[in-house]
Amino acid sequence: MNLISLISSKRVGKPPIIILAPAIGIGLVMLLPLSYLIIRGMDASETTWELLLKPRTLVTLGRTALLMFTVTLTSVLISVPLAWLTTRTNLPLHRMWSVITVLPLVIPSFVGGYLFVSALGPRGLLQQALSPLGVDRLPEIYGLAGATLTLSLLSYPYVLLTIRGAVRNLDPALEESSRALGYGTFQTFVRVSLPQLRPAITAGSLLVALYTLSDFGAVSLMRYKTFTWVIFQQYESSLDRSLIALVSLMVAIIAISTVLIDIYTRGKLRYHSVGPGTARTPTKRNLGGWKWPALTLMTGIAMASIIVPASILWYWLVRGVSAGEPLSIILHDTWNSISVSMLAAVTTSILSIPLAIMIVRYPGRLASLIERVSYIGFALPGIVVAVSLVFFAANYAQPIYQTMWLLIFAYVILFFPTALGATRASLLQISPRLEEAARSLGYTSLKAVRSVTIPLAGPGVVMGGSIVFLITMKELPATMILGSLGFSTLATSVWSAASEAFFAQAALPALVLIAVSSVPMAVLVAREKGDFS
Amino acid sequence: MSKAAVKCGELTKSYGGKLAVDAVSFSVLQGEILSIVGPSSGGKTTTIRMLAGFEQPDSGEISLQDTLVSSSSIFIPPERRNVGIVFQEYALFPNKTVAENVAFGLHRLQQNEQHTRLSDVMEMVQISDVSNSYPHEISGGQQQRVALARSLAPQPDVLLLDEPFSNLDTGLRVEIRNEVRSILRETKTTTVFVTHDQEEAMFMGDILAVMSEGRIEQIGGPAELYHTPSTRFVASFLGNTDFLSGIVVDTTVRTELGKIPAPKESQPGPIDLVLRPQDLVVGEGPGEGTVEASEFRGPTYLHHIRLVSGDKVRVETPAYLRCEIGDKVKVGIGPHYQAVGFPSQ
Repeated sequence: MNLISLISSKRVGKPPIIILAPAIGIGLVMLLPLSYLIIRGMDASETTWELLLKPRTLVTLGRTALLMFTVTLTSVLISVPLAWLTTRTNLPLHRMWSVITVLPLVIPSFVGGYLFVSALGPRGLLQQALSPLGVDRLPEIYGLAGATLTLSLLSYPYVLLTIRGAVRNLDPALEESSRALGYGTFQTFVRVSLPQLRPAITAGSLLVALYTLSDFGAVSLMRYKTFTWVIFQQYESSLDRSLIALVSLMVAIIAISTVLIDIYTRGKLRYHSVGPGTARTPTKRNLGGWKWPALTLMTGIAMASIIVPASILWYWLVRGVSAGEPLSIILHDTWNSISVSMLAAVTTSILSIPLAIMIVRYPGRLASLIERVSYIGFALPGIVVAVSLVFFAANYAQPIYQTMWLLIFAYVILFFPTALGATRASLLQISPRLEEAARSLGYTSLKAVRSVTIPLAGPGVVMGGSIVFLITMKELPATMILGSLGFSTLATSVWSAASEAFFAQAALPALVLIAVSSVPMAVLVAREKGDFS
Repeated sequence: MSKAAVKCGELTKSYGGKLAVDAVSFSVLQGEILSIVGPSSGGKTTTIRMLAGFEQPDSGEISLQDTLVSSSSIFIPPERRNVGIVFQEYALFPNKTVAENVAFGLHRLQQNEQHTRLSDVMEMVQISDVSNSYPHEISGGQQQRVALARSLAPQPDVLLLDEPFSNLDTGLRVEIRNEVRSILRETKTTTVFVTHDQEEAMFMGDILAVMSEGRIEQIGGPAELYHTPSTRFVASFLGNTDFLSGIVVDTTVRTELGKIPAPKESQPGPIDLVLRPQDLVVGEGPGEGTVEASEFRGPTYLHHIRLVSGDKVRVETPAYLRCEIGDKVKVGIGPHYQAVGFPSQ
């Protein structure tokens, strides 16, 4: 394709109103939570500001930042060796390991928190098992240690997946050049491979840091008081809504600065290979005697992140069923969870289409501005969006206040970027020439989109939708705050039981939740494998 | 006289203040093939995209079969222009079989007419045997054939070919372009063909337009453009052209390679003569030079020779005429040379 056709393919003109209007609408909707928080925050009285500016707030800030740091660091330390071992070495059963290591993604943080607390907490399963040996106290699980442990073991797959993708794209010729220039295996890894992986590590770290910042379930169960916990407490107890708005605004600022820091540190360095030559499939390194330590590491991570939690869950499940936990509630919760998540997934995916078309087919300042704005949802914690929408709806949108529609609205804001990313990626793979070919063969632009673009983009859009389904199932704080009175889902049921230490009662909904969210997960894993071949 | 199937008048298009196509006018007669050739980003592709209706001209008019399809007040969308197009990257629908791709444009025909037309076209382009394959399962040459069949199936008034052969390797390219040319001849399809390859352009076109920086430098028969280029750009773009300086005196040109008849209507004074490697001979003649390089091309040699004056010329000789680098050789102008030149700058 020569230069002119490249340019001209992008300058097809202005987007038609059928694309432009919904795209702008989405941009405005995405701005709503943040702008409404600002408006409410400006109402704050002097006493509110005094309350906010107490040292207590600074302590919470420090705690939150510290947790973000420890969880991100731990995740990176776990993920780098795991990614390397499963993709670039002859690790036995590497296929199985690469599936197992991403499985923690299906465990919601509040389920993980509940399982770890019930096992490692005071008078938990471990202490009970050890008590015949005279152990009547375990090291304290509550606080930073417990929160770091739980969140790292559940969120490291975010880093792992991005690194794994990057490792696969590494050009082995770079490493071979380094070896030929006299550097050993380890030096090559540190000096050549690791710098190449930096963008992936940074991108994955960003996901983990935001995950930690927005987490409510695990930190609450681990009694580590971060901002989300503070907001929730304030929301439950206090009437000073402008205070809640200000605290939420602070969290939003932290989130957005995290994203900005990420963008800034990415810098302008080039990491892709320069010059021609396609990358060969890398050769796999023979682990030799290192096989056993490697397998021990893999087993250890698998035990801690998935096998032990699953066993604990199983234990509580058996206890719950034998104690006669009622099944009917579960059915009701399951139905609620699935229908709400399905609705969120479908709505979000459909809404992502016009903006994705605008970004891909009509790029320009307006398109990239709306795109950036729409990523706000990705950065904002669920609880922040929920609090803002509650205040907004109570004042301006009474008809949907306390209904499922407000909840769906929040999900759309929170998970829109996920759907947009998938839709955009699948549209990018479709050459505009295909639509043009259809038009020259007598199809109107709308018909061309229907008979050419949609069938080709469909699978990608559905993929994005199923990820939205998965994360909606796991969402807790927004569901609690925005769900109508008496509206319960699997997530809220697990939470209400676990937070009252009714561990056996939490087991069944937790299991169903994991089982249902595993379905889209399985598809994703299968797809990742497909990319490998 | 046959009528013009394509007519463009003063077509102009710019992107972000930069002129891509600058007042381009031409017409193509019914059944004729027009080749547009020029360096990349010279406005060729933009021109045919305007013909297809994918781009709206800033100004100017386009008529197809005597119907105005684009002007300051009219813009007929691509689907109502009955124009076929073959893209450089073919743009076959990856989720449709070969037959489904070719049948895609036949949606306005009756069911049984569709079948007849489909099998006719597939046969003509010789892809009947892969009709149930998907595009990724067939070779590049076959993909090219499918793209051609798909665009020819609805019997377009005008066929546009945008660098259609550039993704094929050399041997296949020659074979396919021969085939495409004879199919276009047979079906009497009016065609606008865009390429950056001068040899391909001269082979394919009944008429040839050389385009550079958004303007048509010259348009006419390929041989006419080759032998009597009207601008320096056309002269140097077509053939391996060297310029030799001379002086016009009365009706002759004096050069260091001898005296030859001057071009018609040339002004007295310094002139740069257009010389192709085939116009010169080595081993005889009044000129002298040093061989700087010799490219062996199988049947011929292409010698790069630095003349005494410092001008450089390339001379094609039969392969038995070997020269070593550094050899001093005699150089002359061949007997059939028709002088063409431009006043020295």
